[in-house]
Amino acid sequence: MFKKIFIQKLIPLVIAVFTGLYFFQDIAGQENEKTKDVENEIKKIYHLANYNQNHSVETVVSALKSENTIFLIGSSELGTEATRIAARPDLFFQKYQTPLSVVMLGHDGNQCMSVYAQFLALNKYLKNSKISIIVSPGWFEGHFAYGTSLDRFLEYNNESFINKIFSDNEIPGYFKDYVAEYIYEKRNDFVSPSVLYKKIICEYKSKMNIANRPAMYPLLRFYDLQKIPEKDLVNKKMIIVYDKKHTAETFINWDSLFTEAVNYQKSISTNNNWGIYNEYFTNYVIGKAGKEEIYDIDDIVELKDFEMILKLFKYYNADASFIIQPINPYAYKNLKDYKPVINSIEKLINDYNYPYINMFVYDTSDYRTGILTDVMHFGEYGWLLADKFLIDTYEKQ
Amino acid sequence: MILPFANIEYFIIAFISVIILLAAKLFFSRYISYNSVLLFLSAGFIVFYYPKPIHIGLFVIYSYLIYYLFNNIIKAKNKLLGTIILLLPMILVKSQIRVHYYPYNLSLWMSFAGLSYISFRVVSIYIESKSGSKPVNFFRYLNFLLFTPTLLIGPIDRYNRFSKDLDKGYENINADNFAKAWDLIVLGVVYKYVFAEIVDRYWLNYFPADSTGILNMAGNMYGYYLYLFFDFAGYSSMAMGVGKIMGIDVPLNFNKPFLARNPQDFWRRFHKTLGDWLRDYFFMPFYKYFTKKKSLKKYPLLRQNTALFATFLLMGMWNGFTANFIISGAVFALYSVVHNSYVYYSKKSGRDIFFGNLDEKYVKWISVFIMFNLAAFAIYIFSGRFPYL
Repeated sequence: MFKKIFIQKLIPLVIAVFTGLYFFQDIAGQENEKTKDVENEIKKIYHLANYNQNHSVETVVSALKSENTIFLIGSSELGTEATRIAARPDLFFQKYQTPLSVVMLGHDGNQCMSVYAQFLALNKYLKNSKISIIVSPGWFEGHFAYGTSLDRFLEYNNESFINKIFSDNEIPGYFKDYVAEYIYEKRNDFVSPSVLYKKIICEYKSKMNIANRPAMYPLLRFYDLQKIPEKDLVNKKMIIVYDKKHTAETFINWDSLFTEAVNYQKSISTNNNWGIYNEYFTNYVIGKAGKEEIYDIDDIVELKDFEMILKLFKYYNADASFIIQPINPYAYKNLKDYKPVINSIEKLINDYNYPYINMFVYDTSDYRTGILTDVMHFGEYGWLLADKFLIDTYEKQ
Repeated sequence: MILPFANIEYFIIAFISVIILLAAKLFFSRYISYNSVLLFLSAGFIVFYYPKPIHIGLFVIYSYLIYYLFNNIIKAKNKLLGTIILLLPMILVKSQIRVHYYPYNLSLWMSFAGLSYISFRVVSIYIESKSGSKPVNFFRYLNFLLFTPTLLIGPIDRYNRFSKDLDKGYENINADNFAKAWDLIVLGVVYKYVFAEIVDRYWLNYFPADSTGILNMAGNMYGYYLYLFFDFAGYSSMAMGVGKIMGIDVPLNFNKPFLARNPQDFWRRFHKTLGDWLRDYFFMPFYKYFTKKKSLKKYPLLRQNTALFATFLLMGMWNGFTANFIISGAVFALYSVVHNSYVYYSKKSGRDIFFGNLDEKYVKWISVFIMFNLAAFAIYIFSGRFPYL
């Protein structure tokens, strides 16, 4: 009977499986071939939402490699275009004749873990690169404090990024393990994880204790059979030159720009005294509690992720800086609760000896209209302060 | 993480499990019992591969304690309260309760894949146990609840039947069962990974789900019915196959449902084990309860129909407290009530009140046609693709 089963059922199955695998790999191979044939010339891009746009990785790498370009990374404030955005760094630095350019990337949800993994994948380009991170207090409150959502993480860190992290033997193990732990913790949120993620999850689990090793062994060997194609993150022929011709430092009349920015914000915030533009105030502020839950410092995953970014920058000698955004103290009634969080962020940045600007205030008396356009996104005045900080930090070097 | 029959990894683990069982039978049967090996494999699968193993572990302990408390300490004759407490985790998860000071639904604490089906099996053990009787052996209880091929979405086995297979020991691990199991697995693979996939990709994707055009709605309605059948029947067939290889005769769940002639017949053919479970543990107790009511003594049809309606409505709610599930349950309930009334009045008048004297052959095919369309419509509502909800 067993012989019959072997001949009639098992052998045909084995043949079918191997034929299937052969064709699958063949098709996958053809797809890889197609992507090789790309153009070599690309336009300068200054603002990216994520890496989905053509040549976005090349843009970011070019910015990181360029001596006179600052790579600015942030989250929702970079996508807020409801009010005037001329002072936003990507535009401001093009308009004014400073030798610096700014390339920025991000939209809502691009929190610390996502940022960390992106830079880890791009570690080769971090040395001396000018990087500035806009730290949003919103990352550390409510459910955001539990860390980057898997959706956003995967949006910013596609398989090529993750594959690069785990196949790069020069990256120290503890940097990799931090990403592996995140992927493992989120394992139940994956809809249909690819072999790469399954392998990371199994490898992480097999390292957790000795009992897991034999259980994970057959799966890991199975995943090893399925080759994960290694691709370069960047088409090296497509590097963009961002460096401007060095121009004499153009005088920027900051005081005049600040005054104009404050007046502009007042002109669009006529239905409230909180400096929030009218439409936002009507739709999202009136009737809202104006309070977000702040958890105990030790429970805030986002802070741990933030520290890993600092560790990474220090290890690879990045020329980093940080811009801490405020929250509108008129709209939020519990800003004193943020004190331990903001203090921890400042302490961490100081510990790693990086420059920063902290615009966070706890009281309405310390707040100036125009820093934010709504409750937690920069207005024109806030962007100008950020621009000035970037110039002060990097142009003098 | 690995869910039964959801990916190739499960088949690898199942294959290794079968090798271990076979080796245990051939070389170690004197030293280690079939029950122990099966429990070792099931528990190992849960601990190493299944999502949220701690949640499952806690639920199993919770359910056994409640079962023991009500059956052997309180010795409750009325099983309603015990049943509700056993179903409580499932009810709380389905309710999607959330409190303002915690960012996630509370269900996150309690939910795990397969909670509904494990709850069904727990309830069946509790209701079938005679109050005060010797409690089910905990290790057999674990074996029954954690048996991986049926863990996620059934078929819903019964403890007494499962227990008989356990008593046979290694006897069921034999070449004859291997051959039968193989055919079931191949059938399941073809249903789930070929037919269901084709219907999903090339039929359902062709018809936009939110369109109210009659052709699109018809395409969605029949397409989803076929998809659900191939997907679910394929899964059930694979569960039967893997179960059989491992020595457990998992009950049949699908038996040509497209040939059902009426709602009663439909539930004997489509997800049969759920139909049987609902009949035994909801319909029958409801009906008995109504029968005891003196005020309803004179109205047998009303008693039956109320019990039927309540049962199917509960079935709808069990899927979730959303409109598509509740309404689809109500629609199935309505079908059963109408059919039950038709049978009642036909019997009472001594003739078929709908078909009259029409040839039985035509009656059969007209009934099949009507039931096919009625079932497709109710499942269309269930699918969440019905554009008016």
